[in-house]
Amino acid sequence: MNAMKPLDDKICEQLSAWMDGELSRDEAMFLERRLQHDVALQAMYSRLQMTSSCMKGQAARLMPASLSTNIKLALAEEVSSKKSRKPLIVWAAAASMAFAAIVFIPGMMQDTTAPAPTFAATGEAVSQPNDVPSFASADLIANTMAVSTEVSANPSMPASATSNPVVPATVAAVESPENFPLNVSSEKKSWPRSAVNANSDPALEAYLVRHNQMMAQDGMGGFVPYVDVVAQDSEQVEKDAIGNAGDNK
Amino acid sequence: MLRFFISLFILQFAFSAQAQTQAKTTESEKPGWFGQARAWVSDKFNRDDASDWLKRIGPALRKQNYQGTLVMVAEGRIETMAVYHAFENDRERERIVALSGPPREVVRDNKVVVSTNDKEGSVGYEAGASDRWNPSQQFALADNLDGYEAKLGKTERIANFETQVIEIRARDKWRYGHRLWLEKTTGFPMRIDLLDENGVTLEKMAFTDLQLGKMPKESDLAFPKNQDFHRVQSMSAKNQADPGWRVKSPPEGYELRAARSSGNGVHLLYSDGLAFVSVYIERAPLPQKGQSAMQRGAVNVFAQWNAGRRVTAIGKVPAMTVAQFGQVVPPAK
Repeated sequence: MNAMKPLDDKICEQLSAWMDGELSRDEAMFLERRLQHDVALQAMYSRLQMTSSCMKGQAARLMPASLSTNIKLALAEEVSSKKSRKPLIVWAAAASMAFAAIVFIPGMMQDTTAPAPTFAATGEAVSQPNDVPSFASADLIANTMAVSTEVSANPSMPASATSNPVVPATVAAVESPENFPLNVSSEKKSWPRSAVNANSDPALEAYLVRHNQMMAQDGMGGFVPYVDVVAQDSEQVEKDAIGNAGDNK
Repeated sequence: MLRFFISLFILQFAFSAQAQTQAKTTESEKPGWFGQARAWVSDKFNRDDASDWLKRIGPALRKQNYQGTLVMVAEGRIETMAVYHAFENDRERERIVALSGPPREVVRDNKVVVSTNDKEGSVGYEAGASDRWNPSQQFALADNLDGYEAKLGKTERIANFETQVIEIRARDKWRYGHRLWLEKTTGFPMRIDLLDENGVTLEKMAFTDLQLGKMPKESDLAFPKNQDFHRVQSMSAKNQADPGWRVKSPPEGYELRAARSSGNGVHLLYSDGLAFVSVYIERAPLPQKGQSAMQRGAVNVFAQWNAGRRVTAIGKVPAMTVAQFGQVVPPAK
């Protein structure tokens, strides 16, 4: 295992860009090669992946640092034990195929013009653009938005399933709606709701942090940044909230 | 002979001008042309001086090592915070920790910010590479203080530091005024009062002790140790293109300073040189319609959701200002 070395900013930025699908092909290949060997980079990637999952409101916890080693060991054991189980697996596979042939082939012979499998229709529905024409037309929503929303809204989806590192472009598409998740708790609250709750809504924290971050990133300032994030007003005043109840989600 | 007439003309002009000046002064308490000119020059120089002082605040806050105790007083509340800040090799780190009330803190290491509170645990914000933002340089260079009247005040002593007082009065109701106590050698803001349109103090913030130039200990700048919370929100912009969204009619003096789009949202930052307002435009369920406003200390928030989008304006500005910023227009097609 490689010794843990501090990462420079450039490689961190490349990693972030790679996760967003914004890295060039050559750079991505280089990064992926490095990711296979660089322990520090793997750790950083785990953190970013974790944060990405968490920001979707999904339950997540940090992987132990030894996880990859454990998996390697487990795979090695699997390979060594495979040899002894090979004859059994072959016989099981043959039996399964025979059973499948008995059950399905007669049906296939009877109706060869059956309609396409239902997953095609499902796919169409999922990939249908979101019905928010004005916003979508403003190029704010990627074409994959509907798919992404479906995926991220699925509470049973494991955290790792939406942030699989194998195909960065896909990851970026899936995660794109979450890259700007200001209303972090909106999934848990009923609509309509106010912009921020009186009781220290996390959305307010997020808005304030981003507000300060944006100022700092552009070389501007405020007087003492982030003070308003830390200073907590226990008597926040919600002045008014006017909303008609749409579909409560 | 010619000299005599010229001298007579000049004397007559001088006397009449003086007489007019005296008459005007006694009638309406207004200064004459000389007084006006002097006031203009004084105001001009004073304002330029004040502006120069204001320009020193940013570098003083960002490019110095310091630690101290910051006390904030607003609406009868007192918040005490420990502030640690380090700047070394272009790496800026800071940590602000609440010393009263529930445990809260913000830790920043360059582009990564972690905010921790007792209700939500810790949340990380990763800003991504700065060059992936839309920096809107043309806006960032603007130093517009037309919405204010700034002038130098007296010198005072704050937390054992000699300070220069800067009085900044808002010209209208779209912004708050400020009274600043800036440390004389560095321009570091030792105390800041936020004033409403009537000059009444809304919020006071002051360092009660400060160690300028002191590098904080590593442990005072460290991220929280219980990383098992970890939700990090990527703030990387998708691209550098101008998202095109604008506030319909921002109050006079406010200009767009930065903008970025990311995922399904847009973040616009407007400023009048002192006050900053962020406008977030996000998706919302189509059928919903409504609006809300709230206040937290001097920070006002206005949100409205309509036509499948939700617009939230937030800033340390009057409530009517954020409400004005809540009206946006989409990009022209």
